[in-house]
Amino acid sequence: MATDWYMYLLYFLIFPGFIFSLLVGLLAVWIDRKVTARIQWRVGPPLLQPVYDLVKLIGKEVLLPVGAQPLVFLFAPLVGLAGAVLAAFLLGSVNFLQSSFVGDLIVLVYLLFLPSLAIIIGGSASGNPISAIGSSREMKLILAYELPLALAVITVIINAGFTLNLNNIVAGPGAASVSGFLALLVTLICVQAKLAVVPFDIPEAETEIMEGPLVEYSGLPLAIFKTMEALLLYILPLYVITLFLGGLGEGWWMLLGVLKYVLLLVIIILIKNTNPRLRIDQAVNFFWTKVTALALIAAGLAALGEIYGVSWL
Amino acid sequence: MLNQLDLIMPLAIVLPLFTGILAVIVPSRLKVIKELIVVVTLVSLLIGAVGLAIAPNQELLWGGLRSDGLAVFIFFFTVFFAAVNAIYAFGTESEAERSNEFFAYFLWTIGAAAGVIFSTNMILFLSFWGFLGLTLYLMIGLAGPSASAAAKKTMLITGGADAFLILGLAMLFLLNLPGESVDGLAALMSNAGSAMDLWSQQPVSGTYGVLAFLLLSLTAFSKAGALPLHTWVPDAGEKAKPTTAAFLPGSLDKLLGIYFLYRICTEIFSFSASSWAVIYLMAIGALTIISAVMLALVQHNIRRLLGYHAVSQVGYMVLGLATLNPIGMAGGLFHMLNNAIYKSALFLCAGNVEDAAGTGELEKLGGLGKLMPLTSISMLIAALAISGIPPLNGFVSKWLVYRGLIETGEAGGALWIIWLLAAMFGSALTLASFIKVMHSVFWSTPSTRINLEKIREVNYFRTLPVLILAGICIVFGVAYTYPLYTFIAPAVATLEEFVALNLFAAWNAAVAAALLVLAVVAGIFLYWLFDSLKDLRRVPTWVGGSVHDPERAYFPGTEFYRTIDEMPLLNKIFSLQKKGYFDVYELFSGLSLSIASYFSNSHTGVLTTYVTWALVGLIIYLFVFMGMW
Repeated sequence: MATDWYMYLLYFLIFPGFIFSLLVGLLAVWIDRKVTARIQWRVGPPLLQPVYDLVKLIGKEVLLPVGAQPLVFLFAPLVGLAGAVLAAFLLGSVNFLQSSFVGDLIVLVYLLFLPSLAIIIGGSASGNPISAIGSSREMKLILAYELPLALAVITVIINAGFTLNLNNIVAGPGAASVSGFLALLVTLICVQAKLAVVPFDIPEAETEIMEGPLVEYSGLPLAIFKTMEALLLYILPLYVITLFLGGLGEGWWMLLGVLKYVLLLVIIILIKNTNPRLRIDQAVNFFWTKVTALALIAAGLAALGEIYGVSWL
Repeated sequence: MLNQLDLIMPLAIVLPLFTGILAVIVPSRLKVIKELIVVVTLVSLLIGAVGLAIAPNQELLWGGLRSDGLAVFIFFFTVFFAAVNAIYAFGTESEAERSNEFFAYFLWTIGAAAGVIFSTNMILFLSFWGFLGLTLYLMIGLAGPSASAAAKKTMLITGGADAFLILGLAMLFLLNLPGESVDGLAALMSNAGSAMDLWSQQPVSGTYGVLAFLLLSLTAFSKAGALPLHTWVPDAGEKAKPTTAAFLPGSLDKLLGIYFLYRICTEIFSFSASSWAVIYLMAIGALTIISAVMLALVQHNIRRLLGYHAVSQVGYMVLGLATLNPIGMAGGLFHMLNNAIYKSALFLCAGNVEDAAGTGELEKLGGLGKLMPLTSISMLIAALAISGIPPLNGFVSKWLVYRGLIETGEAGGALWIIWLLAAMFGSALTLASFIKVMHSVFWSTPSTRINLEKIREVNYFRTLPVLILAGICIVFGVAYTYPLYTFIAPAVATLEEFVALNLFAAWNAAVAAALLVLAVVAGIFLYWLFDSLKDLRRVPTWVGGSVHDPERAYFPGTEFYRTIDEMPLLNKIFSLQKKGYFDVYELFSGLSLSIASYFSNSHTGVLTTYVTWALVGLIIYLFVFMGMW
């Protein structure tokens, strides 16, 4: 079945691609700020505040630091956003259109690298030593969570019956087994790191290295990076829902799907607001020992369940 | 029945060997003649490869030379990489002092490679394989006295592996002999011809079967650069000339080593997916990926780092081949091709950087991106491709290998989880070490440790090859079904079987790439719309309000992964590695030196001692032979 090119374009640009995920993402940013404010006994911003912020940034001047590599510095945000939109398109088409146009689970996992990669490259190309520190931390964080995240993905693949097709994975058992549940826990921790929020906001650490890789960004490129981060706030919970929680659902069930999403988002925000920031070596240690051990148990149980035909493992 | 096509295989071997001799004879002043010899040879070989592709399945010399689809594919790309490196060499080597020797060894390498690709007779195969080891040694040695240690190490490791090859082939020969014929010399002679056939599909059981399999696979590993005989690759990568590094450890040796391993897994031996041999190969592959890439992470010299990646990537190919299913094997072979493409691009880019900046030490470089735009863009594309970032070619072949591994998991067992995990994690580590390279060389704070004002982009002979290779990284990533169906699928399954896998539905690279490009173009449009790019204001680097002094405040790429070097268990492993504990060469050279020092005690210089030794030897010799007959 071939889809016409203009349909791809519509899907990609409007729904479930860019425009739709941008709206959800901005809403998620608002929820984040509002919940955070309530936890801190503040009132919090109005609903449209994230939009105002973006519009303000777009109107501002773009500055170029003297030591930067201009082309890479200005292109990195674009590539990051493009990767995020493509991932949103893929996840959205699985959940809303019951079809996966561009790729399978492995493609998705690798597409989710692109936003982090863009931040690393952008930070590195700005010629600022503080950005470089942030970039190196972001890369180390990727190394840290990649190991358990890959194991969780393998667990999902085994539980779903050795399929990589995302539509089959949505229909699979997800977290409804011991191994699936453990893998869900592991993935939630990794998502916290992938979003680079507390306790893993080590690369951006505002109070320490002033948003690290973003320190030299201003105006439109910064707005693009902020948009990308808003999109990630939509994509990553959706990734968890797709792999473990049976997707957003169809028809009226979608209300339940929205509830799942908001719940996941609030969990992320709560963890973020009740924890201190780790040092990078602590984070690497944590992921490579405790989280990986948990993920190994999950994958091992899934393999055992598969070999001996025990479905609840 | 002899037709013209029959001549292609022998000519492909003989022609470069002959023109190589011409290249030595030509006076070294006549630069154009030398280049012309190389060009004519390569063009005729390319035509030959196309001719062979028309009728690939041939047999000559009573089965001594055979070609099939895979052999033609490997030969075609051997010539292709030779051509790309030749362009580069015209920009660097033609003027060099020992250019005659360089081009001669270069052409001889191609001829011997053709011999290895086409011969299925043990003696022929062995001769060409050994000759390749020799040209490898000579080519590395061309870089001058600084490379002599690396050349010697390479010679000893590949030469040692040749000894394995001889032993392995001898065992294979015994296995090939029909049951009873070992008794009589005459019977042995009459069967020797057919027993010399490499493609005999022996089982990997019995003492000889197991030993022969282990020995031959070790030979293939030493050539391709997999553990445990890999240690010559980083040394050669660092010390040899860039062209040599890109052509031999970078591309050709990968093609030949993995090609031989493929033959070992299919034609020379035959074993099922549940055999111990599969676990052995997979373990080697997984270990190669992780250990080599961890070492790459801590290197400080750009080409040495690339050398470790040249080792690490072999792990993916071995894993792919060991799956024994069509999709995994296709992935392994495709990765072999892709790796050769981006690895030679990376080595050549590193050569460009070294040439322009005068050093390959990562600490000294920095901020070259603006000054060398073509090299830096090519290197970025190749670096992303080797890290498996979609939609580039490295992603596709890794993805196929992963799919192959998952398919073996479906058949049962749990070990595949470890192999797959090693492959996926290795990919992240690869990305990390290339971020380090790109940061150190091209992006970071402009270096004050070298004179940046003198640095210019290198000449077109040197940028064209890397641009071509980077372009192929994109093309083979986006339109991956083309190389896969044309060159690789026929080697592992029938085309129908392969098309039935419907890969394009699972990774629609063309649409994904188009959408990515669209998004980036839309972003450029946005920049234009808001006039963001018009006279950008240059501002000083912001370091918290103080004045940025790039001489003192910079963050070199070599410091990127300090946290990981210093982790409790890893730092011990790294310090042991630095002392050479994991290097077979260091271990065995120590061992052989100590044995030699023991025997050197017998060297007293007294004639009677030597005569006594000789007599004792003669007596033992006689006894052995009397006993045998």
